[in-house]
Amino acid sequence: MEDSILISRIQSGDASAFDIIYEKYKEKIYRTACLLCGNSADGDDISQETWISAYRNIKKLKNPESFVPYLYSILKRCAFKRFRKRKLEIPTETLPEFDIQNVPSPLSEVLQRERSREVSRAILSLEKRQRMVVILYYYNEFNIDEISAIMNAPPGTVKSRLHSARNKLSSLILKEDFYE
Amino acid sequence: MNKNNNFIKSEIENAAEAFPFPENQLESIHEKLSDKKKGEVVEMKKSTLVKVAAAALVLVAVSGSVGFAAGRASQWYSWGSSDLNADFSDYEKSIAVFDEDAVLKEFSNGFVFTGFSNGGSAVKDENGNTLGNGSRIDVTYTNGENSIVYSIEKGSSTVYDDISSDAVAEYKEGDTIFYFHELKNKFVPTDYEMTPEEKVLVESGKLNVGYGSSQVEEKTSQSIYWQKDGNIHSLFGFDTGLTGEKLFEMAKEL
Repeated sequence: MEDSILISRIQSGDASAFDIIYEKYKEKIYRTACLLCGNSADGDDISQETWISAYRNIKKLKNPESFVPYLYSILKRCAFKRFRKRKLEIPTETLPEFDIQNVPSPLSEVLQRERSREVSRAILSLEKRQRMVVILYYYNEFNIDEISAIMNAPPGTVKSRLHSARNKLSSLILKEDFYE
Repeated sequence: MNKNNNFIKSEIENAAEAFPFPENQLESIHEKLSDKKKGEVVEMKKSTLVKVAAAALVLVAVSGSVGFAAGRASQWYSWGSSDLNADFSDYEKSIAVFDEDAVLKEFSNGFVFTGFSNGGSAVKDENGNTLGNGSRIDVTYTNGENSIVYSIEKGSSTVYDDISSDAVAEYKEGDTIFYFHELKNKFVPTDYEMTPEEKVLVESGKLNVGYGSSQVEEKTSQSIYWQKDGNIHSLFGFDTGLTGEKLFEMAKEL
């Protein structure tokens, strides 16, 4: 079912439609939040706050076709609010421990987890707006105009942030000794 | 994307997938949304409600101003309401205005109170002249899969000229008669043109067409109406699967 119909149903009081649209976007929203803050506990809180706020304010969404940018703009607001509260502009050396399960694993899995952790560290080293732009662009596959709408920033600013973030990320995760 | 971009994308996707999705997140969200202790209000405002008087139908319109193919009736029903309020104690206070004491929190079949809204209504003719005004309260109950709205309307004799019209079943409890309606509704875009067959169904009161949806969607409404203490009561839902008998049982609990 199309998002716009589901949104219209939620707006007319059909709570079950909320569950359907939640199922559709829950993983992207959760993992975007986790990438933004670098840990699953804050990611869970931020994504829950996002869904609750999206539901409570759904009547303010005049165009049901715009649900996705509406949802991600709420996610951005919830995440940045949490950053302000907890001063979560986290310098690399004080990163929370990344989720690593304490179960025996093949070496390749251990290496993959370590690699993921380092990438997460690299993302967290970015300024929060650069971080958001990078995650929206690479993980969520939004284009510049879509990111511009979500971030409420001119396309030129988004391009600039993406360019800076890409350069910094490249220098961190493409360097030869990254996995050594 | 160039090679570097693809590599960055792949690494970020892998990093994202390393975060295990939490169990029961949706349940937690539902709990927070219904947490009345915090005095939080679910900010959902009911959109325009359109009603066909002759058929005694309620159609919760999908968004904004929605037109309605009214069949034999030439009246328009408009409805404005407050935000949905999830506080049950507020509901108990609000319902006193209607001289009613039907403050049910949960039906025996599992439908649970989730919120209410109240406001006013007006019936207008095709030229926009107001034929009558009323006040009403709508109370939403959910069983997790479906929602049903219990409504009380006061001063609505001009709206409901006959709640028995087109009823598909009747039930009696004491002196009160309950009228069950089941009708097909079709939500359509504003530029939708009805087929000749649909026009016939609308004219005969067997189909209601609501304009304003982004695409065509069909729903069957189930409702039961009764009159008590001068007020019109109804239970209404879309595609609930509830029979007239089950709605009657619910109505008797109110």
